[in-house]
Amino acid sequence: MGEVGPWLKAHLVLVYGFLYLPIVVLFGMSFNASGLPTAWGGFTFGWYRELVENQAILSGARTSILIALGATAVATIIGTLLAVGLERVGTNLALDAVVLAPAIVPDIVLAISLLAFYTLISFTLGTVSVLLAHVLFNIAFVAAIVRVRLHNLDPAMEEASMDLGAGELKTFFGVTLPLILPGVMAGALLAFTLSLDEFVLAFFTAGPTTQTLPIVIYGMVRFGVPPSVNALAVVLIGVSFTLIIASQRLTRTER
Amino acid sequence: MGNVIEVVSVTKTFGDVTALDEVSLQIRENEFFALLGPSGCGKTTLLRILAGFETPDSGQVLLDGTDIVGVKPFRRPVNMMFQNYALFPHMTVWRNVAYGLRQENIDKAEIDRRVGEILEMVSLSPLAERKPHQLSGGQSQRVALARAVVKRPRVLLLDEPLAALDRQIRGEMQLELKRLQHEVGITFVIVTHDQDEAMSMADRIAVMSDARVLQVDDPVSLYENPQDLFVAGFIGTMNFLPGEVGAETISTAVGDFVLPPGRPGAGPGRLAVRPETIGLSLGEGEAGRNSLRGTVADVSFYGAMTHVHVEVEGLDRPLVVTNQGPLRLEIGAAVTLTWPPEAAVVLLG
Repeated sequence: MGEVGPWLKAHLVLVYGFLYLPIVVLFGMSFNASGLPTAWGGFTFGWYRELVENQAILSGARTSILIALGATAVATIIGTLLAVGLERVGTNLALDAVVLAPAIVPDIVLAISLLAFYTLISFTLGTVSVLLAHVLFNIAFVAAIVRVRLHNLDPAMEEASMDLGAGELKTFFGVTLPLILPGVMAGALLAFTLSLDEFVLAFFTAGPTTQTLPIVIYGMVRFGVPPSVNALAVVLIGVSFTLIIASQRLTRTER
Repeated sequence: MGNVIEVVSVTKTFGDVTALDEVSLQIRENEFFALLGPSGCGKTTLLRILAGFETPDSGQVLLDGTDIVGVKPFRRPVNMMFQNYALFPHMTVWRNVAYGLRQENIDKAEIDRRVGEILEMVSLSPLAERKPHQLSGGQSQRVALARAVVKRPRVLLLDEPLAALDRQIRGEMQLELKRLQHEVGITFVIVTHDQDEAMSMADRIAVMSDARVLQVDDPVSLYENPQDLFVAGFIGTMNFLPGEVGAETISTAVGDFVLPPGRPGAGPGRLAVRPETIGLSLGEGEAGRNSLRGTVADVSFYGAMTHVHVEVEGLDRPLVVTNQGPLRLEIGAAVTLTWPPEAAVVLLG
């Protein structure tokens, strides 16, 4: 990059400030002993301690991680296979649109239609219904990321494998999958992150007994924000950032 | 020698484009066979049909007498060396070479023995644990070759195997390919657009143009006896004199010339004369039959060879004459050109 003029630099600072100032405030508040946004009462780890002692939050975290793991596993397998299939078909705009739709349709629309659908087939709402809802929109993300990787894969690789006597299945597991694995991992990490802090779909499709972490937080902040939620938010940001950065590193071609 | 491969009137189209138009040819046991032609002539499509990556629209492909159209690539005793080598980047050299053997029911000791043997043959044993990105172009090429040959296929297909290499090591690799072919005794089918490569390596060459095979012959016959205008112009340098083919002579804009023995018929055609068969003498020699007068337009000296361009009144392009060794000629000098009738070829069309 060349010289950056003062105006451009100012613009950059403003944009980053707009993006990250609220998070910085949150970060500070999570260590603020007074618990009030307006007054600094000294540094404390107290809110974090309160967090690990809060049974509702711990159980919410457990549920969320469980759902995220399950949804990620299923969505990664289906999404990867979908990407392989789409890449074989070649350019088909209509098909691409159908595949991407769940990622683009507003969450609330997806949530309402899922709820209606579950009701129609009398599906019991609970952990499984949330997991399936998350699989639904994660497939699109995984497929999109894996496709980029597949698209850059030299078709001669698979041809060489088959030429050397490996059938379709052996070729997929011996050559295709290892070569697109960074893309698959990136897709999985993204899916896990998205599932972990997803609220709307979970709120609509969870039964009364299934409380994911975002739902627990929502319940806590309905009557004012308890300071421990700040601490929880910081933890969530930390986890999400780590996963996203890991995912981005994997999608970057390592050559 | 029997035929390993027989291609019987194979046609292949991609949308509106005809890649192969009723192509037929035979490839013999143990020969080094080249498919030669400009890019887009269909030679790569033919190779991919032999490998099983493309299916012809019509026609037959016989391998040892059995039609293999529709047989999957992984069930054919045919292996291919890809143009960009297509080495598996996540495997070492050793595992790349062993990959094909692992697909068969061969015990591990036998695999190790054969992989070790072939790596020795292409002098790659010290690099067995390297990954493809740690290899030079020439080394990658040898790994690709070893990986295909280790399966002991009936036929080895090579898609422009030397195109990605530097000029300097290309000659070396040509020799190595020939040596390896003799050593392993496998039929090689090579695709190339480089006539020197085909001429120097192949036992027989199929010259292709516009989805058709024009002539299949050994290099010397192709050079001395082209059966087609395209072949005559594509292989080596050729002088063409357009004219009307008669009973014993061809009448051109610059005079009548005696036809070589074995006339092709009558009608419009061209007399094709190789530069090295033309004799050049200074001054206005006797203007007998089969001689031409011209003036020297350009002289290029290449050490072992001198190329002389001679302007002849009535021809739109100068004739090329080559002479062994150096030749001192003034530009603009008057010269006389002659050639023995049997050295020329007459082609209709």
